[in-house]
Amino acid sequence: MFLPIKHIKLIIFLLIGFFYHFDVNGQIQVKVSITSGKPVHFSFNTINKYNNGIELIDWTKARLIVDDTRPATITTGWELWAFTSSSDLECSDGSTILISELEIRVKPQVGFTGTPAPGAEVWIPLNNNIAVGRKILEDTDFTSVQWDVDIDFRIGSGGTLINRNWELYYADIIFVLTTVE
Amino acid sequence: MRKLILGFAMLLMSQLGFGQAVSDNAVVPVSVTLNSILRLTVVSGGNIQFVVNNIGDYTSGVANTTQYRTTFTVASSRDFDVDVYAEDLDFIGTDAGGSLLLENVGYVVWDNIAAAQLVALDVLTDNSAPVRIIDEGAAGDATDNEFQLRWELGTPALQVLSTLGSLLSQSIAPDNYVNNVFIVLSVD
Repeated sequence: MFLPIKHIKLIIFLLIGFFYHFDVNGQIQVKVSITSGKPVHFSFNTINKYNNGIELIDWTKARLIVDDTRPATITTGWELWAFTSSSDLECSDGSTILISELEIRVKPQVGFTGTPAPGAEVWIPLNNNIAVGRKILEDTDFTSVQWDVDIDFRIGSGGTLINRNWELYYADIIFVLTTVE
Repeated sequence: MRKLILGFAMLLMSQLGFGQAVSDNAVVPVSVTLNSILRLTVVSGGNIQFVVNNIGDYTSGVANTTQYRTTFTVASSRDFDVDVYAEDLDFIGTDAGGSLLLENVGYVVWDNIAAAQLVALDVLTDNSAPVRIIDEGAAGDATDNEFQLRWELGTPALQVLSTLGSLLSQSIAPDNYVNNVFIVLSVD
């Protein structure tokens, strides 16, 4: 009826390990959601737009939530990355626009302590190497943080879309929010 | 003891498993529509009329002056070509129904933006042999691409090109001769 002493020791040990495990790993919540501005569409219908490109300012709004209670020995921060579904904006006739011609600018709200600082944002071309992507936001504060960010998009600045085939080009941008360990 | 070691190993393994970065993602579709922009606009000189009313005109023709100029602009988001040709084989007399050979009329193509002659004097042709007056014109708007057809009739230079001789030598019946000229814009 009674368990042998050695089995009881093992059970106690595993229980200690279980609680230790939760203490060390804590609660982890990482979420990125697009709250508005999806999809993103550029329509080139004047020569002026072909010459100067199109900027969509504050077009997309995203909410980032990171709540990682693990110790700083495990988690050191978080990053937001932009990947793309392909290395080109593609269309049905086979014509392409290099994905690096599409640029984004992420603008965190005032009070954000990471990089880039509010007001110091720059345009970042997306990476043609879709396996590598592009890091667009990062911070070392990872406990119960929630940030709303505005995302600008632009393409064709400097007249780069002049002389391209008249088509509908498309691709997906995949925003990945991840903890850093 | 063996179970203790096994327990430690399991604990260690579980820690390693939870040591992975945690991530989430969201997808934003992006599309770009490049609409066709290909416009030719005749700004002035849409109706050119030569008046031949003295022997000098019959022998030396009518040289180009500002009233014999067709100005047109091109707005295109891609490089372009422009062709010129007449609708009918000859100019047709509206009163007596006679004809005047196309080659009696010619033109010089002028680039108004560069203020330079683009194409040397050439004779007018029909649609069986359209003349490409602009080849690989650079994409741009109307302020980048303004051109002029500078028309002339039966001038000595044209007489050489056409080998028709003067209007006088052709003994053309007095009439009002008309034709339509197409200026055709296309993507290069």
